[in-house]
Amino acid sequence: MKYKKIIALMLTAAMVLIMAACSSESNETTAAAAGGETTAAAASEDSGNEIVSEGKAAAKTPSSNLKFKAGGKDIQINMDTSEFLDALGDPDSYFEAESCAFQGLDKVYTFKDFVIRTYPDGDIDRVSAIELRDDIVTTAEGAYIGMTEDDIKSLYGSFTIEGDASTALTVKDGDTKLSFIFEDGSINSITYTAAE
Amino acid sequence: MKRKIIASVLISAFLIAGLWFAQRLLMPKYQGQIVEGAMIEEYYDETTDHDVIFIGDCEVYENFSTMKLWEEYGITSYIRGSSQQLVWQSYYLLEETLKYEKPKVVVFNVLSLKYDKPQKEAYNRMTLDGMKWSMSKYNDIKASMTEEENMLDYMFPILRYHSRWSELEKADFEHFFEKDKVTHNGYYMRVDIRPQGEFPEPMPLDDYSFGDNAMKYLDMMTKLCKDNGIELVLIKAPTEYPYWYEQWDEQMVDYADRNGLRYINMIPLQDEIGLDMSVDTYDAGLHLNLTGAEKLSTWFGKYLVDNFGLEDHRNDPKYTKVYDDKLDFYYKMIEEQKDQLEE
Amino acid sequence: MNLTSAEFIITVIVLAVLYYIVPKKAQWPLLLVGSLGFYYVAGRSYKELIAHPSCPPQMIYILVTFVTAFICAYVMGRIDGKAKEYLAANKGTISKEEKKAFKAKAKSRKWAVLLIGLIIALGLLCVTKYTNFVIANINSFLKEGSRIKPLNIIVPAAISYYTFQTCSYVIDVYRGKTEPQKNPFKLLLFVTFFPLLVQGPICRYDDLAPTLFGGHKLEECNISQGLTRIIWGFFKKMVVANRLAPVVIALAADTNSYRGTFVFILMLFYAFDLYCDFTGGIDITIGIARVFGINVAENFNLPYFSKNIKEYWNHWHITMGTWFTDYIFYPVSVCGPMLKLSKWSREHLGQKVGKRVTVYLSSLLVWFTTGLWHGAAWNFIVWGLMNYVVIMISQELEPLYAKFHSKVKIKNTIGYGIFEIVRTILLMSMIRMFDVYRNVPLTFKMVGTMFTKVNLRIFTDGSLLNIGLTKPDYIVLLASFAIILTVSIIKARKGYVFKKETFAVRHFLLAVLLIAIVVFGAYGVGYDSTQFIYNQF
Repeated sequence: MKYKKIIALMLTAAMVLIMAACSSESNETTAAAAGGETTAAAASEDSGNEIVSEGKAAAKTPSSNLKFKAGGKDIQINMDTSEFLDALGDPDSYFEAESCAFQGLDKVYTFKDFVIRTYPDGDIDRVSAIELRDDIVTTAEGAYIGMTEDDIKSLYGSFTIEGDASTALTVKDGDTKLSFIFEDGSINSITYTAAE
Repeated sequence: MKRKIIASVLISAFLIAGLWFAQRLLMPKYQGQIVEGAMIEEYYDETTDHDVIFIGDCEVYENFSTMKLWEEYGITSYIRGSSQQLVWQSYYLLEETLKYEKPKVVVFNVLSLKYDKPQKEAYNRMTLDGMKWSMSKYNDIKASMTEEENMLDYMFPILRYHSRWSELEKADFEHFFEKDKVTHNGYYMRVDIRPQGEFPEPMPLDDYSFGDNAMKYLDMMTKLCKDNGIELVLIKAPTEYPYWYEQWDEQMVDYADRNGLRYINMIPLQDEIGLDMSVDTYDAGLHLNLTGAEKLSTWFGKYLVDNFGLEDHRNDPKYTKVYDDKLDFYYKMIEEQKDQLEE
Repeated sequence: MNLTSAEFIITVIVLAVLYYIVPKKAQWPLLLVGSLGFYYVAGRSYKELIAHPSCPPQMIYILVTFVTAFICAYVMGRIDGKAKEYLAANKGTISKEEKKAFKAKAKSRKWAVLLIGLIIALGLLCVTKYTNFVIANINSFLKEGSRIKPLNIIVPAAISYYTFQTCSYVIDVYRGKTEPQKNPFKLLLFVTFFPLLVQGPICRYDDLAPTLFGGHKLEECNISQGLTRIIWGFFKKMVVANRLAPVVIALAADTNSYRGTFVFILMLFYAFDLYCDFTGGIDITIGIARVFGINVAENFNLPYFSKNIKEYWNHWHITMGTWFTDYIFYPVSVCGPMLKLSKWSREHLGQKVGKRVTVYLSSLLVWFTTGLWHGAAWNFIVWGLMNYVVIMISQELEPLYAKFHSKVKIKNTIGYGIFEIVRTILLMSMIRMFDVYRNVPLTFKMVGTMFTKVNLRIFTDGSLLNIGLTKPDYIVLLASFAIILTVSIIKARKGYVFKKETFAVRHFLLAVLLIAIVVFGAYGVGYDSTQFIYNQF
């Protein structure tokens, strides 16, 4: 009887423990536990990767092979706009919208052949969407407006392609979704947006 | 031993009081330029019930003047809105509101359906911190958290705001116990004018259907209203940016049909409402200013009275006493803001 | 898992409450269940656990180490027991020589068992921790194309700590110092006791066992002392270490912008950061164990008040130092080949040099392994060897110092004492730069710039406000420094910080400290250090 009690208590303990330990998502790594003189040492070994991956900043670091090239620069979703904006010259038109409660400005830069939309992140702006508007510009892989489903499938064979040509084909990689939107069997517009 | 117990109790009390005090001091007061974070909690100061509850984002709390609805139609209304209020946040706020009162009509602005996932911590905080604790709040937080947030930070906001100790302002001390009212039954007033300019062309989307998660909460909202015998009116406010796609509109028409709800897209009705976007907006067409909000309220109030036969409370002493004060505050703020503009 | 994470705190609280509810007999089994659960979860997020609920490979490693230790100790115990039985039964019938031979035979059998045990336990440690380091080193001699692919092994969490702990147990059983534990579950608790699996200390079985398995009453002094240590540790970790760590990493990562006097700043920051992180972590560990009524060996004794490096190493990471002394330095010094070498060198090199040869060799081995233990990288090895060099040089210079002090009478003045302390701190901090920078040549180069590129302007031109610390941060750091220094001085003078009768005062101060940690700690979403670090990459 006494043993049963103990076993019951131990099981409860184990359950509570595991639940407590899982109660919220931890993004801590265990590396420090195994390591030597502790945190900074281990972290500087691999140039601080551990700590970077903890922060929210990491989520916003561009992380995709899908890029758009313009003005000699790679442009990516979630990229800091100051890295390329100067190289693009003046846009044809510029629009900004205050987001609610003074959380910064959403900006839209309309160039002749493409549009770049941004969102605020602290003091900087990051790319939220890129839209290709005519067939003069192409994606880094060479896709342009007017192409067909087969063209895309051969260009993006190494990626997973979703959807069908009745509406849109999409390619996802990292934080980016590249969409080819079709009308009457050919691409009508191309957009880069954040993958969810 | 006895002395130790007494000491322990006293010290524990000191610890809790100290943490409570620090938390209270360190939480943002939203009394300066950003007042949006103070909106949600103002509701708890209400002493009378409301016929109409608005829920949604800035497209309700900046576009409908609750005082105009009262002045012209004797409609009592409250806007439970906050910045970038997402569908699930609207749902849980409504669920919570129904614990306090049973309105006749609930008006929900559908723009936020475009968001299917939690968006931004800053907005979450403005929406959630002001709520009183309840299961609704708990579920709301769970539905709203972005990946880097956690429940503990909401349960003990000091864990989130502790680093504000070096940025404390006078307002943090002044409003330690009491905050100034920032809205008029949830309406956020702006009297300045910045005419609407040209909006950029909308970006084509690969998929126009609303997300499953967002629609799930809309379904829940529909059911909640049905179960409580409340008329749910879906609206899209008359402002044109952020862009409201035709395909979205079709889905809403379809949804309203299927569920026997009313859905009004007010964008094409700008003329009928009497809006002149060269004077009726304070931020170049994104939101309405006071004149715009009053025009819209005059138009929408009539719609409410015509369709739901809402009672005119203007001769009911229970309400007049309360609303006289509210009107005073309303007109005082109009004067103040106008004075400020002239400076 | 992190000692300061919410999950860890909640786990400990729940466990502590249960601990004093269950019958005393069930206390250690409860700890065992808790410890295994802790190790099973070990930093994996909820999502990962759901996705991979199966037993993680690290769990198997720790169990193998435990099983090996248990079996070895058990077998050695049996050999001993049988030998005793035999000798007792045949008392008087066997000759002295026979007895001696019998004993030697038993000992050599034990030795074989010990060897197998150590090879398995240390083998696991070496394979998981050092294989890729070895491969990388071999690869640096190979041409591209013929290089060996690094293995895909995850270093099991805390393997350095539990392996050392287990080895010390097995060796002590071999030496007859420790009775083998007959209950495998008790030994398993010794190997997996969760507070020790984060940052150490490396405990000895004999130290831990008396309180680890005993039933404990809920006692005010345990809870109170435990909480004091925990909160003090939290203060050091959350307020200081967490505030400095990102700055240290950033300063070390951008070697182009931060050179010269920045390196000096980095050195001081890292000294303070590491001290607070490590001693704070140990405070928390010891405090938690205390709450459970368990005594864990101290790992630090005011190391930054040491007047020379030898003293420093007697006061810093004590359990590691004594481990290396007991299980490497002494056995190596007295092993057969060493004794032969000693004899040979005395005969051929003279007393003065000959005496030193074996000590130098043994110490070299100790410091090499100490470096290696800290991490599989040349940085750590060089770091260990630097310590070795400095200790040996200062030992050789001792007569010179003595001469100096006999002439100049300043040795016992406060000023000279402070000088010695500062000198030791600076020296240790400089050596420690090897675990800050990416590689060894870079460390030499950067430390060099400290002397060649002095730019004192950074103190006045606001550069120090651009490295991730604001003015308020500096104020907090200075205030914390003052508090830690004061507490340390009190402890150094009196040997304790609080008297027993000051119950109310002590706990009031703790409550104040706790509020200060919550407010001034560097943690949470609002702390945008991550933002700052991100900018570096």
